[in-house]
Amino acid sequence: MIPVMPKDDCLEAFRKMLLIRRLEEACIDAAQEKRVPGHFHVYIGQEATGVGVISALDKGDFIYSTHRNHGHLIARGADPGMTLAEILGKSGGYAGGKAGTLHGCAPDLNFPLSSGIVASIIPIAAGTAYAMKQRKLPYVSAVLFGEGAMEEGAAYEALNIASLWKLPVLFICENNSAEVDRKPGGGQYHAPNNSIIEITDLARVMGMTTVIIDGLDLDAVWTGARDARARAIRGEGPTFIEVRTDTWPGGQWPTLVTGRTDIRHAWTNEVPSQYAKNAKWFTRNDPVLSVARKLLMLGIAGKEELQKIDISVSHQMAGAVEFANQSPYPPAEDAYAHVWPT
Amino acid sequence: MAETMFGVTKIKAVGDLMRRDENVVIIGGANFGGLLHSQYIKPLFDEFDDRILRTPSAELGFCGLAVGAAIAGLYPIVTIGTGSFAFEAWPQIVNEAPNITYMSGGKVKVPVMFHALVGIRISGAAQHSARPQAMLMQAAGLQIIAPSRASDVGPLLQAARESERPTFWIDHALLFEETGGVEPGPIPALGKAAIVRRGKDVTLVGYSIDLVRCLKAAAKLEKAGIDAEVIDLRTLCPLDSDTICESVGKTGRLVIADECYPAASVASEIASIFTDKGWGLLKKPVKRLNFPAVPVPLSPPLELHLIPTVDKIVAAAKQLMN
Ligand SMILES: Cc1ncc(C[n+]2csc(CCOP(=O)(O)OP(=O)(O)O)c2C)c(N)n1
Repeated sequence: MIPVMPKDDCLEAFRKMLLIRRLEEACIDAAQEKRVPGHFHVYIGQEATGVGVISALDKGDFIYSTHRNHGHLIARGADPGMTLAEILGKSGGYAGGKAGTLHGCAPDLNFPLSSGIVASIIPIAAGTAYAMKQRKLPYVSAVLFGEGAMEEGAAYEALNIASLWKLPVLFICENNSAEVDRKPGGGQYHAPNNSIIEITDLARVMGMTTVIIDGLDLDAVWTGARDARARAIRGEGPTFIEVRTDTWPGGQWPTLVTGRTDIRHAWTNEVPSQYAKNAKWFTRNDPVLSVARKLLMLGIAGKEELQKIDISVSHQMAGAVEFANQSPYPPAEDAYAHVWPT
Repeated sequence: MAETMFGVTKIKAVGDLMRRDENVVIIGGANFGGLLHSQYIKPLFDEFDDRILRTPSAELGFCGLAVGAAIAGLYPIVTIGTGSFAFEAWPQIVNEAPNITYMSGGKVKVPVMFHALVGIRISGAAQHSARPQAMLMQAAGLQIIAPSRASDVGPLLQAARESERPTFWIDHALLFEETGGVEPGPIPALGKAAIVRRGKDVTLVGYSIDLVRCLKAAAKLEKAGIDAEVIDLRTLCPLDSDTICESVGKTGRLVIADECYPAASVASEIASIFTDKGWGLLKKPVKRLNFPAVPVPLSPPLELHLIPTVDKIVAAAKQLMN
């Protein structure tokens, strides 16, 4: 696979995927020490989606996300130290500690906000696309959300409007419970809750181009997003992309149930005995290992090169953790700042 | 320990109501508690499996569904989850349910109970910390209950059921593990506030989590030689101005703790009583402790700075005594 992305882009994408993994591992470490305020959601298992989509975007494009935004920020090039500081509620974060994990943003990178309200972000992304169109700017708006968002009315309204007015928007639906039997009506978190079986059917009846992509296939995600962006710029309207991944077994209270990622598993194909219960993660579902294997297979990188990337990423992450830990909490009077634009 | 927890008593009260009345159903995607409390709620959900409609995350849809079910003979208790999610269902909660009886000349009833865990839950940040109660007080035709003490939940649920009025149950995310307040004794009717501590120096008014804070403040004030009277509002609509006036008539001093924003809040509504009905009862200005008018920040020191804490209530009461 990976025949389309240029070699350097492949390696950079892999580096970002690994950086996301290391950031989430650091988050989980901090949470073990009760230093992460509030409930948080990690991006482990979905790295190829965020990185694939966002690598295909232009600097002028806008990105919107949800409660599961850490990976999207890093994919966009956000500073991992500032990202982590924000998650910890520190003054060194992108929002000075006001946003935290739920509302990650990097405004300078055209990443204005993440909404913690399921589906609420989708119409906002469509509105930015309208602004792009109205102002005749050659940019698109991309929004990444979970399949749960397709249970809310806001999603339908936004899809309809975007398709009706051919707005340049990419709807990226991250279906991270692809392994769940898609029998309608389960009524639970991480279970199918829609009367339809194929989520993309909903967008198709609204006249949108739809695509279903395997979330382990970085190249397919990148290509899908690139093509969708081109269609949007040509005035052909929105694309609805469903990217499917299996649920990472680390669960609702994120715990390192699959250990700390060891890149060598990509070529040793070993499943550490303590993680035997989650063998499928090592053999198939881990996007980081999966992409590493493809890079090796296609001769794009050798083991040494991958290990070098790992060392450099781990070094960068250590600096980020240091920065976030050293960053002070904001002083109490900061609470009153930024209610209004200054 | 667990038996005396507010949350456990609350779940039992819901179960009792469901056992007495087969038309009571639960509709919603959420729980009566946070994720940490599912163990206490599971038995209820197991017992009434076929009377629970587990919905998609579709607040607008399922709140409307509950309104329709209420019109046709069911009594739905709607678990909206976090209070902020009520905004997703606002059209049904404030523009449909409360208007229907009036719009039908009194002929159509909408006996429905919306339930949400509102409030500053600690580290919920801006979009998971809403206190929608003051806004809900602007929906004429909507009854609002806000029990703070476990002993009140069953009677208020029963009374709301019998009233056949659309009702919003303001529950607080932090109340679940509170253990005070299962005291025996007469339980006031729906619409009556309760004097939960007698005192002569200063009146502290609260509801939901702020009532718990008022009681803790009263205990601290006692040590400082200040005898506080504490009023639990129990319901926000109707709002029992008589009991408040009676108490302030005695103490002449009033502190109100209310997590809502200051403008058009529960506290400002209570303060307004003293511009007419309670005119002349005060010896000192009213102290209103609200959450200042800023979105809820994530960072713990910022959030803590803004909450009407026990210490702030104590300080306000002391100031009034000087
Ligand atoms: C309007 C609203 N209702 C309910 C919730 C509670 N909630 C938080 S995450 C979530 C599930 C989201 O699932 P999905 O969109 O598939 O994203 P995932 O967590 O699987 O990435 C729910 C229901 C919410 N945040 N907002």
